[in-house]
Amino acid sequence: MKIVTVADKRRNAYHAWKSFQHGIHWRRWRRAKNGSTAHYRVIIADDFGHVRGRASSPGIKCPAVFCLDENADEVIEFLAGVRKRLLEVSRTSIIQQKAKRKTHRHVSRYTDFSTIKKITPAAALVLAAEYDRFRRITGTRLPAINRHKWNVEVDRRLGELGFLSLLETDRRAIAPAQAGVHIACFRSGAANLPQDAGQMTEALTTLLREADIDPDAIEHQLYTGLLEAMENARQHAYPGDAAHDDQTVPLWWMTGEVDVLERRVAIAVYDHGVSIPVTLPTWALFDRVQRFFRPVLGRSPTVGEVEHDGRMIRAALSVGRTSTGLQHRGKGLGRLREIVNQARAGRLKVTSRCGEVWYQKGSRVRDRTRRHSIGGTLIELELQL
Amino acid sequence: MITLRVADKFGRYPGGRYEDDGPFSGEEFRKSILVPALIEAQGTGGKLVVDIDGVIGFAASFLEEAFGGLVRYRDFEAHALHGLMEIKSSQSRFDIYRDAIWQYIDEARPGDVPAAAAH
Repeated sequence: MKIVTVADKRRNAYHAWKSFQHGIHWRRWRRAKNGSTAHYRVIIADDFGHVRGRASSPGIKCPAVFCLDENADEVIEFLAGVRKRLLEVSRTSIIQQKAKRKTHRHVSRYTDFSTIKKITPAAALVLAAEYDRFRRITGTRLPAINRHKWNVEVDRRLGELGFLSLLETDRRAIAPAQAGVHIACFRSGAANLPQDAGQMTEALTTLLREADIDPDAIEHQLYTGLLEAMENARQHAYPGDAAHDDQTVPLWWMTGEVDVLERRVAIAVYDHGVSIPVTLPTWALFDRVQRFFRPVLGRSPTVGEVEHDGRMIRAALSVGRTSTGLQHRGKGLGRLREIVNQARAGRLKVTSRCGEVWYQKGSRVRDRTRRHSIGGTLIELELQL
Repeated sequence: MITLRVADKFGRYPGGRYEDDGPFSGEEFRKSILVPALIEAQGTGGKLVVDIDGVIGFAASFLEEAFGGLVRYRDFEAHALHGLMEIKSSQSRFDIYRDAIWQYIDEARPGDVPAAAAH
């Protein structure tokens, strides 16, 4: 029997340590050769569960306050980045995408939703629209990364909205709803306006009735508001003469929210269209809009001058004309403003390209222009019961 | 007097402007229901009462296409419609729709239609 001495043990431990170090050095050398210098441990979810995986880079952090009222500049800039990344990935062939994710154990880049502490339905809708467009173009869904680290309330809101259905995610149950606040699952479409608007209206009024709140006073305002916003997207967002590529998905997306405690109902409709400032100059009655600019600029703004987007939308709201050149068209945005005036209290906000206009009952219309584009048009209507 | 109850004859959820926008459009309502009812009322020498109770709500484009379209497509003249038609609702919150309908009729210009429809 061989006697193992202390020296033997020390020598064996030394050789084991040397081999281990050699392995580490070799792995580092390989990563450096392949271009990646760090790996981050993540949990990658798919429809069958989740696996431990690695990411080549730390996640792209989302704004902590994901709200287009309190933190609009940061959120819109972030959404522009998401749009750009998703469109870049969608250009990769589906076979290449699936080959890369074959083992579901490695991702190169991912969006880290765990940094979001507060999210509103309108901002979440725009985010959902980007991921839904990716899903429709590629026919695939991106995996949810580190969902176990997401804020519980944010996870619940994204689940209620239906955002989680746009990702490959584990089937973990969504946390129960916070008392009094409910978000309607988003819908998207192109035609059949009355059915979609009717179903969303019924979903919101049902939530009110369940809380013993009579929705009759605002039911027609909700339905009309949804119709007007959806029609605006259908008729003007994707004109036939505009340059559309194969990444254009000519749809609208909508959602709603009911806050029983504050007796408040809100709806939001978003599209990826060319935007109001782009279509305005093509209107036959654009001269009425130009009157808003001549005192300030001495001329009409061009389509490329995004710094006037806020004023352009405000002009559209006031003049109420549209791109068809027919005088009887274009009453939708003005009609939305009337809906706010009929309610006990309310607010209308229209964000299109870089411009933003909001109107609150009892106050005047205000506008501003931001640095980044929202990538289409977002119409938000909020009514107080 | 002939009564046309929109919710019963057409539906509780009116839609958009054109038939391409989906079912229950203003164009469909005007062509298939409103114009025949007005012709019938005209033939009997009576009035057409359009009852808008029971409908969830109307988009401005629906009302303009349905009622303003009567003048724009030269089916009827605006002054004739004032004597031939009445808009009725028992709900005060629907007064805005009644006022909007007459506004669209009075502001409509005969022949102001899309180029494809004009031919």
